[in-house]
Amino acid sequence: MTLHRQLYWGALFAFLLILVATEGIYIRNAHTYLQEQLSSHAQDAATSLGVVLPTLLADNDTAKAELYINAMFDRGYYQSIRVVNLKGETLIEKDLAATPSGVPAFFVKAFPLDAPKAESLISKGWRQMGRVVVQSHPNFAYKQLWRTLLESIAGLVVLYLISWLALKRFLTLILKPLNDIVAVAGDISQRNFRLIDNVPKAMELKSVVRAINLMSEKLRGIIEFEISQALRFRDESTKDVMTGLMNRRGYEQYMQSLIEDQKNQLTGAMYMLQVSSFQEYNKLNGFQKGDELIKRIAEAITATDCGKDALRARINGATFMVVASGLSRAEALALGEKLSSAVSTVFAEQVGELTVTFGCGAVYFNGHGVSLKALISQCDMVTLQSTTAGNQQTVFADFVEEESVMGSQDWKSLILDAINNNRLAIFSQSVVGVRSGEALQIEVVGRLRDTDGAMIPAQLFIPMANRHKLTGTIDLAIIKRLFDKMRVGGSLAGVEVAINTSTQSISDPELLSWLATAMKKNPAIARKMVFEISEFGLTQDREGIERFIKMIRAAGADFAVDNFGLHHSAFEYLQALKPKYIKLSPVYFKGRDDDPSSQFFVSSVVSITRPLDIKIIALGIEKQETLVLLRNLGVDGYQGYVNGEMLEIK
Amino acid sequence: MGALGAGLVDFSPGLLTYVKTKWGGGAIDRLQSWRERELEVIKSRADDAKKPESAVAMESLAYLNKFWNRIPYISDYRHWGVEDYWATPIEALASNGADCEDYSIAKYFSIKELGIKPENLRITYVLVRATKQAHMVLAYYPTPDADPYILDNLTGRLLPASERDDLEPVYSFNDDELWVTGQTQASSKSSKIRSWNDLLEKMAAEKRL
Repeated sequence: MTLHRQLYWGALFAFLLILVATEGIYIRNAHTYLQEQLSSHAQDAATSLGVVLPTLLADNDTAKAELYINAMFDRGYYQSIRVVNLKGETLIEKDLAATPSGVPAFFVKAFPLDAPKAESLISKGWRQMGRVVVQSHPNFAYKQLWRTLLESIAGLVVLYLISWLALKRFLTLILKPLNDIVAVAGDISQRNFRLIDNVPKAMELKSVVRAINLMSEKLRGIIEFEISQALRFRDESTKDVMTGLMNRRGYEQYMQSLIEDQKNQLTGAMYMLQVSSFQEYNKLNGFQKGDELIKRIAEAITATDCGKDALRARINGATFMVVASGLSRAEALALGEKLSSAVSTVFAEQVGELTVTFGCGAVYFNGHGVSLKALISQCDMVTLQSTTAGNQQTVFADFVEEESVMGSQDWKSLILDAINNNRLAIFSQSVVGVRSGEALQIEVVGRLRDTDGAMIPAQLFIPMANRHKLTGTIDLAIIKRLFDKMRVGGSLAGVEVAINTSTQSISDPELLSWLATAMKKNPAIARKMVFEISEFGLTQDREGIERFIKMIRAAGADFAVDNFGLHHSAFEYLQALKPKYIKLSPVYFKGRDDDPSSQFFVSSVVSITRPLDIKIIALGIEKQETLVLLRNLGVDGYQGYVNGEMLEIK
Repeated sequence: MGALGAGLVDFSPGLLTYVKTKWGGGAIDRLQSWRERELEVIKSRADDAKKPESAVAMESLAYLNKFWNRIPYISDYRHWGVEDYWATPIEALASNGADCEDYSIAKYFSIKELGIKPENLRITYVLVRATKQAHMVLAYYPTPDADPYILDNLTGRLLPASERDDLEPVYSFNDDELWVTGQTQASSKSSKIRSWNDLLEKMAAEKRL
């Protein structure tokens, strides 16, 4: 029960008690008063009769007296008036028969009124003559009391209703600040560290609000500090100090995550810019001049608009890389020309008479089956062409895919065939807890078998599926199979299962509707599902993914981020979306045991995710020794070859 | 013969202490004197069983009337500091001062103590014809329809009302009137004479000392 309700009902009850007590006291007082009135009324009548009667009572003639008494009696207030002589004989008697009081019987029983008798002496001078005895009729008192009861109850009821309304208003007003506090407290518990704007006036509430705000601010401050630390560490290891561009490591990380993310569409261009004969330039003009040239080139590259999230790197002495994504072919072409002309300008200003020049090569890729090796080697080639041409113009080429045995359309039918004939295999890899050593979850991937039963290599069919927009269909088949396996009695029953999804899948209408229905029908299974989305995919279709997250969370499932750590907005989406856990990009651990910056970065990430209640899982763990490091850093779980190869789930 | 007993003059030690503290040793003497007289009268009534009741009564009344009339007359205002104060018998005697109500009251209770029934006694408001002043006396009715004898502090003689033309009766009452005939006792709160009620309460308080 809310505080509001408690106070409300408590106060109403107290009011009711008070009103009932008040009414009781009031009626009792009225009763006592009327009782006294009856008695004094009778006495007054007796006394005044006592004064008058001696003159009216002549010897043996009671006629006058009777007349007088009749007059008094007929007013109806008396039950009986009797005149008695000294011998005790009744001279005059008037009685009123008992009449109904006009008041309910229960009331008469509850509040009985006596009809007292009063006497007065009748004496003439010193001589006593007798007594007059008067008894009041209680009926008029009953009627009065009854009316009083009804009126007072009516009045009190009205008062009660008014106080009811007033109480409601009053409580709402007073407790409104509490509602605000509760809302913010709720947010804070959801790890959204808000502040309360309206500080209430009531002292107790004021101190609570201040304390909450202080705590929230501090936590926010701590997280922000950690974020800045983390970014600093990351930058340290990936930044080229001289130019401010990415260094080789940063470039490799970026490319690695790009390629790992095969499931998502990759459309963009890679540009390589190389200064020829740079060593000679250095020798002749000194290293200082050489550095200057490099800096100027870097500035020119930075100044050029390469689109959202473009990579600019200096991978060795005089080689620059730019990787831009989300470009159309025409845009990529234009960018290439912009880059080369910008750098041309630099050369014109800086170089003077010496024949140092540069070459620029661009390779445009359209998202399918891009292997890094092929991309780099093709880019190398066109850059060489440009350098040879010596005209400081960008040489532009389209990425040439590796020869595949089958054509694109053949792939399409192969994939569809495999899906329709149920040649889909599910493979799993376990995620193990760092401290417990026990399996935390199973991550599943789907693979297709060809007609001979052999596994089709992922790097072949995934890009093809992407191109033919069949990723959603494959993922749906995987999910269907999982629901079957996760049922009670199935091989994955009661296990937490992580499913990889891509930007294509989460916008596939058939998948979404099937999933929504299935999760509703099987809430127990839904609660054990976690949908993983790569950081890269998240940045590509943020809105679509937010919708998807809302839908699955409403059904009891959750989502997580895969390949975390490379995007500059990594920490922003962490706080906004609060994934269940994040899987750190393997670049931080693969063959990297000796890199302190990576370790600092990871520990900063841990500091940030702790208060947000987000777990961290390290990917690409291959050696047992790395586990020690993981434990020291505070990572929660790990995944990789150290746990063995992927196993098929039958 | 009426009921015997001397409850009215059984003074408790507490009462005597109170009286001594308030009015001095002389008050104690006066109270003792009253006690002796009262007991004397009671005894003599018992002894005179042979004599007719009316004669015995008259003697007792005259005796007590003289006893109480000996207290000096002091107006309520001078004696008690208030306009109208009905003193209890003990108060009147101990303080050695009384006015007309006090005499009548004291005589009333003293006489009742002898066993004479309240219905034979009437405290009466009268008007002194000559001075048109309010006055109070005690009237004794040997029989209900008789001409009553007046016990007055203006004279020590017990005269019948017919010989007391100087007084005009206005209103009379006694303890009895507070009874409701045939019914259970009405509440004393609905008493018709407040001063009488207060007086009874004071006397009850004295009894408790």
